[in-house]
This record gives sequence, C-alpha cells and structure tokens, in this order.
Amino acid sequence: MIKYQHGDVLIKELSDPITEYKKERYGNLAGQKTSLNDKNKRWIQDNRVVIAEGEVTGHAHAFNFDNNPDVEVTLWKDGNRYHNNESSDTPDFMRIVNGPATITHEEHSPSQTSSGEYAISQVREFDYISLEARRVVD
Amino acid sequence: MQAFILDMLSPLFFIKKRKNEDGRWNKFYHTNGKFFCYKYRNRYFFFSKGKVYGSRSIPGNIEDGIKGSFITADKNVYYDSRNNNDYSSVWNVKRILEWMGCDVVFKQHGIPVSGEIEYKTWENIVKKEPASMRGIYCPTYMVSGNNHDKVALSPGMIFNWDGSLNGETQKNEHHKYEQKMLNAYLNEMRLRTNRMAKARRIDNKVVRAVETAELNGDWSAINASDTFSIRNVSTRRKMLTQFSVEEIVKAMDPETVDTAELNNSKYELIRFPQTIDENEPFTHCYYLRMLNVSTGETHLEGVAPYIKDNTQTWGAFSKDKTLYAPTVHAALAWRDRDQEGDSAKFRNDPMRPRSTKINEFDNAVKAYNQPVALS
Repeated sequence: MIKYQHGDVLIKELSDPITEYKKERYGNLAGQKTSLNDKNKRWIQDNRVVIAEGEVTGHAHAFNFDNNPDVEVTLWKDGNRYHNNESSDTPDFMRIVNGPATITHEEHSPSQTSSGEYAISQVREFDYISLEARRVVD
Repeated sequence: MQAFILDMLSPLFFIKKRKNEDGRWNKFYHTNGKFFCYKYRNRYFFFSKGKVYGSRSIPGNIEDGIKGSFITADKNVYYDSRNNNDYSSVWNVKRILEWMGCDVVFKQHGIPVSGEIEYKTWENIVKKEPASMRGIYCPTYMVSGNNHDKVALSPGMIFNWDGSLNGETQKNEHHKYEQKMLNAYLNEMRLRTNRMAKARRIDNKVVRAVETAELNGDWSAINASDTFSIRNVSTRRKMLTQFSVEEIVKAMDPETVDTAELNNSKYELIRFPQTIDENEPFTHCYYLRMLNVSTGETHLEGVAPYIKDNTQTWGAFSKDKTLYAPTVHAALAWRDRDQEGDSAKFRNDPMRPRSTKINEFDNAVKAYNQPVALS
C-alpha cells in the first residue's frame, strides 16, 4: 500500500476502487463530490482544493494546480461519518486523474501525489491525560 | 449426605436399609444381583471392601462403578475419585464439599495481576512434562476453618470427615502447584491493595495542593511528576496549564525502550510506569520522541500503550487499539493507523461487528508502512 504523509495528513492508496465500497459494501457512501469544475465549492478555496485545514492556525493542506493545470481531484465523504459529524470538512476518499497533483502547506514543503484512488486520514496520538486517542491537531 | 454415607459405612447399614418398616425393599437398585446401589439426591452409592463409592449413573458392575465414581469415602476420609480419570475435577471437588455440607466459602477473583511463576498444569503432570513460566491467575479456592485458611482446589483432594484438609492432599503434586499459584496471586493482590491505598493518599494530597495553588496562584509547591498521580481527568488537565507535556514526561524519568532512524528523523520510544489507575490494563505510558535531524527540533507524541499478551477485544485498550510490540516501528504504525487497512474510514460503522475489526487486525501485516513521500 503506497502511503504519502504531508504533515499530519496521511494519504493511503486504496486496494479496492472507491466504487466497490459504494456498490458492494457500504450502500450509503454519500456522493459528496467536488473538483475544480464542480459547482460545489465545499473544498475549493482560492483555486485550490483543501483537504485539511488547521483549526487554530488556518494553515491548510491543499492541492495546488499551478504546476499541473490538467489534474482532476475528486473528493468524497463517507456517508456514515458525514451524518455523525456534519461539521467536519475533511474528505475521506480522493481520486486523482491526470496526476501527479501537488499538495502544499504553509509549513511543509510541497509534495507530489500520483494518479489513483486514496483514503485520507490524519495521524493520531494518545493523550495520557484523558486516556484516549485523538487525531493530531496542528 | 454426610450422614447418609456415614450410615452406609456402618456394619448395620444393609440390615437397616434393605427393608423398611413395612418389610418392603427400601430405596435401592438391583444391578447384577451381586451388589446394590442406593439412590440419594439423584446419585447412586454402593459399598465395596470397606469403602462407599458415589456414581452419577447406575453402575453395571462393581469395577465400572468404582471406575466411574465421583466420590469415595472410608471411615476416615472422603475424596474426589475422579482424580483417577484424565480430566480435571475442581468443579467436582466443589460439588463434593457442598454435598457433604461443609462450612466453606468458595472464591475466585478475576482481577488480573502482573508477574509469572513456575507452574505445571494438570496435563503437564499427567504427561510428566517440565514446569514452565505462567502468568499469575487466581485458581478457585475455599476459605474454611476458624483461621479462614485459603486452600486452592485441585483434582483428587482428600478431606477428613470434619471437613479439614487431609495431609495426603498436601502431598499431591498438582495441589502443590495450585496452592503455589494461589499464594502468589493473593500476595500480588495484597501488594495491589497497598499500592492502591498509597495512590489514593497521594491523589488526595496532590488534588488538595492543586486546589490551594489555584486559589493562591502559587504553583511552586507542585511538581510536574505529580500529574500522573491524579486520577481525576479534569484536575489532571489543570496541570497542563502550568507544565508542558515535555516537562511532565521528563519529570517521570522515562526509560528508552527502542530507537530507530527513519524518514530522515531519529525516533526514540520511551516509557514510564503508569501510576494513574491500578485498574487500567496497561503498566506503562509510551511516548515517541522525534528528532528532526534537519532542523534539530525535538517533538514528543503520546502513543497507545503496549500490553503484553493483550487479549482484550473491546474497549479503549483492545488489542487493535494498542501497540503490537514495544518498538518504534509499532508506535509509528499505530500513529499512522497502518493496521486498520483500507477500511479505516469505516471504523465507526455500526454495521461492522467488533469481531470483524479484530479479525482484520489479526490478519493485518504487523509492520510500519513507511511513506513514499514525507514532508
């Protein structure tokens, strides 16, 4: 499994196509989809696609299209998680076509991600003060 | 039961019991015409060569009856006759003591304790295998007598008619190991109780000190290492207003468990003993210390604890939520959710049973999947 790490964001290649999840295993994958051509502006900010945004700093992990204007980034939310936490804007799955796509962040150097289908998650840490695991927040 | 068997041992038993007042045959079952067995409390008892045997079914002949008996009694003792069979009969010993009306209390504790002792199972003894190290657990035991003696139950126990333990039992090899296990467990429990009492005293002391510091605004009397002595989460969190995680971990005097150089960084897995709550299943708190060799910055992140031989399949410390080994690789794999596979996003799906998640974890490759690009 190919994995990219950009700061606290993990991009893991899926072994099964996203559609397989939708059709066979999880009927309620909500088609929360966007791309630069999409009218849904959910993840689009200043001509870039944001996949994670720092709540404190406002810094964002985002795909920038300056180097490769032909790249298409499509994002999905997992239906279950979306209904459980509608305020979360982090997508769960991503498809990159005509890659590579360049991901940028204010504090990290840019990184290239090849075409393919990926799951997006964030690194976690264990808080021994509250005795629970939580995702790292930068 | 006791009176019945003692009655059977009397030489007058057959005369007394064979016929009732009406001259009819009393409660007995004719088997092959050569011996009788008497039904009492749904068990069948018969007399042979000065001993009374108890069986669960009507024996066809004396030999089968003796072989299949669960209790044997003579004028001095009674004992678990299933010791002659190949399976354990602690349950049987318990039932015998209950049937005989002995004034004992049975106990068995499920609280896990740490430590190992040299131990032989019943199977090891039968197969004449050597002893091996085994984690301490609580065997079923009984509390009896005025001194409240704690005696581990084991197959083949022999009791005197007053319910006390016969000296022959103490020579039984399996009983010796069971008693050794029980003594080790009770000793660990005693130490645990002492530790918990001490932790409660320290907890109260620190909580009072924190409350005073909050009122006065003077935290000089508070030490960062007191953080993990506080059981209450809200109070523990107050410590973070005064000390950083780095200061707290440093004050705990951690030991290095593993080191590795990966992703252009030096990693160190450190740990210190867990003093938050004795009842928690983990013994140490684990942190990953990362040194970015390019910038020289050190960063500290808590990772899930490593629990040796973790069999928990649910809860915050189930095996899929803790480290699979006390190594840097395992800590990084946990941090990056590598063992969750593609279905990481569906962990909260109520339709996925817990057993499926555990199976996925068991079958996952236990290794750190290093990123092809890291920035």
